Amino acid sequence: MKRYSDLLDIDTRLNLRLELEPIGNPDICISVDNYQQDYILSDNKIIDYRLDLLKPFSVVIELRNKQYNLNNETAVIVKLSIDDINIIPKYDYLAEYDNDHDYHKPTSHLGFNGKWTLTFDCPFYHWLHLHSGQGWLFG
Amino acid sequence: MRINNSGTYESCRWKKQNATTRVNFEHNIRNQTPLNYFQKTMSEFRQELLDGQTPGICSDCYNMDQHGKVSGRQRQLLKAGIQDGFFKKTLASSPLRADLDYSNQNQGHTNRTVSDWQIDLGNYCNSACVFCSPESSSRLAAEFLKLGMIDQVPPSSWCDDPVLLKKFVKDLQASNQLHYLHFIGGETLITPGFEKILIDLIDCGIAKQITIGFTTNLTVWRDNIVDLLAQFKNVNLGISIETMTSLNDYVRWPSQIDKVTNLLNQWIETAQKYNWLVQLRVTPTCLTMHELHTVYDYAWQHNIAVESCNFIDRPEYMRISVLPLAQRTITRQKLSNWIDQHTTSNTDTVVNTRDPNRAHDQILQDAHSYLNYLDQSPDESYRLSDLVRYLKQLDSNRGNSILTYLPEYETLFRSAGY
Repeated sequence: MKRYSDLLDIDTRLNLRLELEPIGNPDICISVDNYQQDYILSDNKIIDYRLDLLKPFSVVIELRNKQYNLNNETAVIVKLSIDDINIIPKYDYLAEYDNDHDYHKPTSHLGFNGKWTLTFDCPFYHWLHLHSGQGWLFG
Repeated sequence: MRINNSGTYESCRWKKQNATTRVNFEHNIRNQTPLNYFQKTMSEFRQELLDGQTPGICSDCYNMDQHGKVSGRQRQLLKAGIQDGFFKKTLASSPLRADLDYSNQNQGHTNRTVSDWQIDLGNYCNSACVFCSPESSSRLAAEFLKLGMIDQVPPSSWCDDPVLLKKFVKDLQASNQLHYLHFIGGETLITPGFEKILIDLIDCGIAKQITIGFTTNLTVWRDNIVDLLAQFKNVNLGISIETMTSLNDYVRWPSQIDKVTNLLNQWIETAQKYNWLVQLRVTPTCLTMHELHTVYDYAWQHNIAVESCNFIDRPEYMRISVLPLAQRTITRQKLSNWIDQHTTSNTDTVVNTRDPNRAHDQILQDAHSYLNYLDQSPDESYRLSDLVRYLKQLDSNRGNSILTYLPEYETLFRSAGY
């Protein structure tokens, strides 16, 4: 068994992987923690982020400039994992989807202009504990 | 933290029991406060763990880990947000991280107060389960005394002393991080200390912050206790049963399976009414292992978890590994068949075994751990003669016979001297 101090001698960052599958050529803006990037997607895209283990953060994906009368199918399908743990689609019901069609059902298929936001309002592993049915935590 | 029947504090409810450590007057409620024990006396043990040592008192948990059974170690770590699958990162982000760092820098000392208690209430019990001990059953204690198997019955419990009980509740009240109290009997429902503590906690206004855990033996019902429990934040209800057949009557003597089943259904309805968490608590032994699947069946149908604290260690002749190869093979096949007929889509380990959304996963996990144990535990069939000697003593006193309930083991038991 290792000593307590040895167990803490690790890289204390999260590995967040965002996988985006476009339908058509969606115009999107991605915000993850302090990173923000704009894309017009034509192919699948994988983006890796390194985030602080203890800091709360949000993942925001905005679809914009979609013209429903011209390209009705345009959308982006989101997959998200953190430290190889499947987060989206598994926890898609925890995301907020604010869009111009007032569509609020849990989804990872973003087909309307608007913002899809998944908020980790506490350290990620606390969030995971709470939402994966692990019971109460010492406070 | 735990307070055992003698009023002695113990560092962990899962600690391997050792007769020589059961009574410690220095570490007793009569001589020090729970807070002093927790913050200072436990420092040495806490430092051992921080130093990466593997204390002997943790060996039951290591044994369970080895057979894929969720151990107390894993359960307690989970309450600190630490999961085996992501151990280092969950440790680094544990809500107890600052407290752990403090303890690591201060020779195991802590400034926290106790959040999680196991409270042993003594041995008041109307049952005399064959695998139980005088320390946990007054009825069995009286029988053992009559049969000359013990010289004296165990001393009365610390909680029979109203002064100590009042002192203890006062300490609970002062513990600002109190979250969970797990009560152990005897039979909790007929133990005066249980009702008294519940009333006192309600009266002092902290019931709504506390979850109560307890286990009942399905032979009694108390409306007044149910009414008290309903005033707490939540209840983790444990229901003891070994098989859904008449064999349960023998093992959990003198229960009767019809009454047991009715009370089981009544508790489940009550738990549903109050949104309590329910588990069936089993103590599989060499006598019941081959019918354990009947409990799994009931639990599966009612979406309730099934759990045993550990693989039974004492009495040694009740261990599952006492089954000779032929019976072990049959038992294994029954369990394996049951597992083959039940599937879930999840394969990850369920550590929070009280999660009602994972009851089926948990049942299968428990079944697999026993299958693993049947496959890997060493042959201890040489203890069979001890088992038969013990059962003969009980049967002669009870006017009972194990062969009535286990006719398929008649040849085996006869060969061992029954």
